Amino acid sequence: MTNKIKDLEARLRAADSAKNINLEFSTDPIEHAKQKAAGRVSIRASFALKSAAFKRSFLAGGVATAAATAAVLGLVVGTQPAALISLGSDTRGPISESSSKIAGMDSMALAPYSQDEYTAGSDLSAAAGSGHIYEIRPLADSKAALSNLGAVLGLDGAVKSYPEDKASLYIGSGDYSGANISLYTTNGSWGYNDSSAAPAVVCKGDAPCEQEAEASENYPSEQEAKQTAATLFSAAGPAFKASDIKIESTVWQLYATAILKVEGQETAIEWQASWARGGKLESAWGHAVEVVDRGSFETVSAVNAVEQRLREYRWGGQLASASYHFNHSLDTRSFDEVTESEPSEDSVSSGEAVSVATAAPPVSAQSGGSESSETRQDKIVITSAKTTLVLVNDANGLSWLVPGYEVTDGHDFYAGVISVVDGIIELPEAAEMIPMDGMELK
Amino acid sequence: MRTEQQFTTLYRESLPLISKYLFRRVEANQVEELCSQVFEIAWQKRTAAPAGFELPWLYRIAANVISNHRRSLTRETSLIASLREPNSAPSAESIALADIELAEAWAKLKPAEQNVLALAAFEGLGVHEISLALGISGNAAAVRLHRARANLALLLEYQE
Repeated sequence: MTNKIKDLEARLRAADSAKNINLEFSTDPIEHAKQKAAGRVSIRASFALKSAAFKRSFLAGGVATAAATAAVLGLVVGTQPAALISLGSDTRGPISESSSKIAGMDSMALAPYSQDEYTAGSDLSAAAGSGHIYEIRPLADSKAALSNLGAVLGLDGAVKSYPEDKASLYIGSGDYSGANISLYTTNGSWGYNDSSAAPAVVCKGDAPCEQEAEASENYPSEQEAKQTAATLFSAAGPAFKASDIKIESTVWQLYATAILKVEGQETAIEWQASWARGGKLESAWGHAVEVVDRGSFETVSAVNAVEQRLREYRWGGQLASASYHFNHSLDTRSFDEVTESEPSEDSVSSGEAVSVATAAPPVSAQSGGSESSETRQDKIVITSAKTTLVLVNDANGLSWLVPGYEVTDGHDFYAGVISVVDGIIELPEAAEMIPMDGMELK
Repeated sequence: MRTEQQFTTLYRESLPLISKYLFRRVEANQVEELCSQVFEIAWQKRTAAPAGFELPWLYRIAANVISNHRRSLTRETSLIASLREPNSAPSAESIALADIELAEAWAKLKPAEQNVLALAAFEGLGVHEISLALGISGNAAAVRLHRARANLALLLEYQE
């Protein structure tokens, strides 16, 4: 194992949240497990809180739980039945991409501990407007959609459902041991995976494994990949042409990506297929959905959106990936190219790589820096607010494209904010902000 | 593994490890319930445990339990979330408590890369054990681990 790999894993282990945790059952676990397996009792074995880190995480977990509970209550109570959309609790916050990757990366996302102040620049419009709302509705016949996808992929056989999850259908191996495609009926998302497509590797001792097929790249041609991807993506859902597909070739895989366009604009909804170096399709995902226009609605001005909504994470929406100006070419460089030499000036000045995480906030009074316990307090002037459609997720498991603004300060801050006027979209209950040890909320 | 005694032994030896595995990946107040689910399933399927590799087998069960737990939390409210393959990796948030730069790089990895790296670095599994824990071939596990290490190193390199 190389020193770099050792250092990397040592750094990971040092950041392990559980390394100093000592969890203990206060009751006899084996009896409980067996009884629980028999379905007769509910285990409530207690863990002892053994460290401050555990307590901190416990507090953080409380926030996520509160947010999840709020979503459930929103469904049951239905406090604003007139609203067209009741948002789920995981609506993305209006924060820059690098921050959202931390705070909003999964279902346990917390509201960002951001105290940023947003001001509308002089070029922003104070005029209200209007825009259409689109429902991303799963196709009514999920089995037919999955069968169509399976046919394109050469997967025949019956459509099955997982015993523990009836909402998910699949054709194939049912796990990651072989070719498999599954579809989640609630929202129409599907995914294909064939682990056998990955090239063979040779592992010798502690040395990094080497791919046997690394020297021989056998990707389909760009046109072949585009046509295959268009055929696959169109098998269930919106139709794509080969010319709609973008191709990216990396040292590991060839990617074909399609982006859903509505009103001529790219959205955050994407389809993707990837081929292993050996030339075999390794994975793909997409959405068996239709886009349903739910009508035109009034919108607030850009100035209003920035000054009244941007700081409130629940008004956030997901922008098309290109909007984030995020570095998409990272994978196109080999590991050795970068790790064995310092990044060149060109690579830094290209405007692609630096936005990953290196750029400091544009006007920072007290940036968080490397201390996670500090609260960011940035003053950000929004210089551009472009009308767009942002993706939001409702409490019933469906996604919507709603009018919004893509705002930026012209540097590294990008965010999507909903612009539909009050009363159309019901927000989830705000997550209660519980500061962790050492963090002060103002 | 067929006898109750064998299962009890496995349970007592692996309980701390499975508990930590869960602690890294879910809200702390969910650990006890999910831990009980893992061993409930393990008890029901104990005859299927691969001899000598019971721990990776338990990790695989735990990963499924976490995926279902996360799905139930969000009810798959997000197209963005659901297009990912089932994710049972530790969150960047959990890492951010100790190393914010590492957390930022971690968050940019694909879920599959996070999963394989976590099993290697946090759970200390080798390639073969990882393949069992993830239910993929040894080759695929090795490739994923190699790519994940490379990508994480690359992302960190860009941050420095």
